[in-house]
Amino acid sequence: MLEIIRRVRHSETTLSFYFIEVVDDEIVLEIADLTKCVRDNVEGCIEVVACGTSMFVEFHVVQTDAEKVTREVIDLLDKFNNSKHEEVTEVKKIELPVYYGAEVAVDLAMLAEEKKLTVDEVVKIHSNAVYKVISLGFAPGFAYLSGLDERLVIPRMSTPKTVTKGSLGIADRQTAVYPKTSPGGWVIIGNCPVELFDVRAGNVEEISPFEVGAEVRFVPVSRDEFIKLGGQL
Amino acid sequence: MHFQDIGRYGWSYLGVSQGGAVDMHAHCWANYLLGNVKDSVTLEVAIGNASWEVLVDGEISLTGAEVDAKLDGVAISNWSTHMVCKGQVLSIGYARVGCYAYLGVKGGFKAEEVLGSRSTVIRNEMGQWIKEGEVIEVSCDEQNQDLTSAQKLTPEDYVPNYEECCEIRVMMPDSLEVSFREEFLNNIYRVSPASDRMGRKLESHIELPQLKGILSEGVSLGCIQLPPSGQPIVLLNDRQTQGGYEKVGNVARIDLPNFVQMRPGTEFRFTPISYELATQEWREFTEFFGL
Repeated sequence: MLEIIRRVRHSETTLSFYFIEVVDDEIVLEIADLTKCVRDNVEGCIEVVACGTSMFVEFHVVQTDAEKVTREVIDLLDKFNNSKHEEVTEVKKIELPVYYGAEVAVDLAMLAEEKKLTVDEVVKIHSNAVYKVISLGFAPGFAYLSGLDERLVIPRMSTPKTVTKGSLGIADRQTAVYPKTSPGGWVIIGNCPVELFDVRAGNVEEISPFEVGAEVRFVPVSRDEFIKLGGQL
Repeated sequence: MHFQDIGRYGWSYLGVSQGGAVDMHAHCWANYLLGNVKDSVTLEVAIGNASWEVLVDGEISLTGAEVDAKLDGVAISNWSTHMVCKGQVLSIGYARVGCYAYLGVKGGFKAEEVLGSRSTVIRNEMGQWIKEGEVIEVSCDEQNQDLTSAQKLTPEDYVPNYEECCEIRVMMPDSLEVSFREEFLNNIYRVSPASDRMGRKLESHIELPQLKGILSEGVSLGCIQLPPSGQPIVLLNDRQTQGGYEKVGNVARIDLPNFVQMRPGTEFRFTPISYELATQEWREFTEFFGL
């Protein structure tokens, strides 16, 4: 049961609906479902974004207004809560190949040393877990994933560096893949050769494999497989 | 310099920045004067100092920063349209007043459409800087149109004076503590040189109290974030889609053009505006240009 605990107007055309004070995997999924529902049904919405504990809405100032959007979101939420028992939402499952080799995993040895683990243990711990997409942001197709094993938690680097496309990183309790080369401060432990943001994709669903609430697993691949999949050393 | 339009909307949920002209007022007038459709592309030139050789006869418009434009060495006016002929050279100097100049062309510039927009967002790898020697094209056959049209000017009331601007109106949430609100509004701010299309950093005269961070959430255009440094940042068109710093308010969209045109070092105050009035003014702008 999803409940609006707070609504905040940000600007002429934007507002946020808050559902919970701390990120919760179950609620993340519900917010993601509601977000899709609002995007498809509330007239005049330009952006509807699931943000972990809240939903951000930007609307068109001529087509609707903040009060109308709020009323429609509340109505939709009622329907959403009532109908939810009947249908089980299918969680999207994503498997991503990752090469954990030292050529691309520039911070892996450091992380292992810091955590008093072997490199193989770190890889095993990281690739055994199932992660959940909490939100997408920072850059196109950049998905924040929760579910990192306690043993691998490490703060982000104090100075950001240039991070190559496909880099798999860890920061605090989250893990993520950089879809494009960009500045970043995450601890890099591998590289994923799959295109994670493709504006030329045939249909909208294929632009990014990620969606909020989806489950992600990382599958270790060999150096050869990595190169065959398009990975760059 | 690079191409801009009104922005890329509907993709925030994938982490895509909206982009779009930072001075929407100048961009829209550049198109409006030429009779271009609302989605037309203009060239946004930061700082100025550029020149273009005209390759086909046509009509252009200039708006935004005061850059002392010249056609074959002869001064031409800002906030108006001009006929240009093949072989002529259009040049602009460094921006004297304001920061961003807009060059429009009848029919708009030809630029690649990505996710429904031709706006350049470098950090999203959408569009690129325009390089010296590059040929830039007009998007359709408008250059063949009648070239006898009279010069068109932006009405005086709509020509901003960027130099005079010393107050920027801001919407502030009721949840903000009264004491903080007063402190924020009583402060004087200086535009920091460390600013780009993602955001404008400000230096406040009196250090603002620290606010605790928030969980990452959506951020709107003109949102004022207060990082632990105590120096506010106003988020602009190329901002990330989410942010985790406390928000203290949001610059009225109708005031953003004046704000982005302020030169580094400019001092100003924030004054409060109600959500109702800001919305009404933004609606009028949106309706006028059919956005």
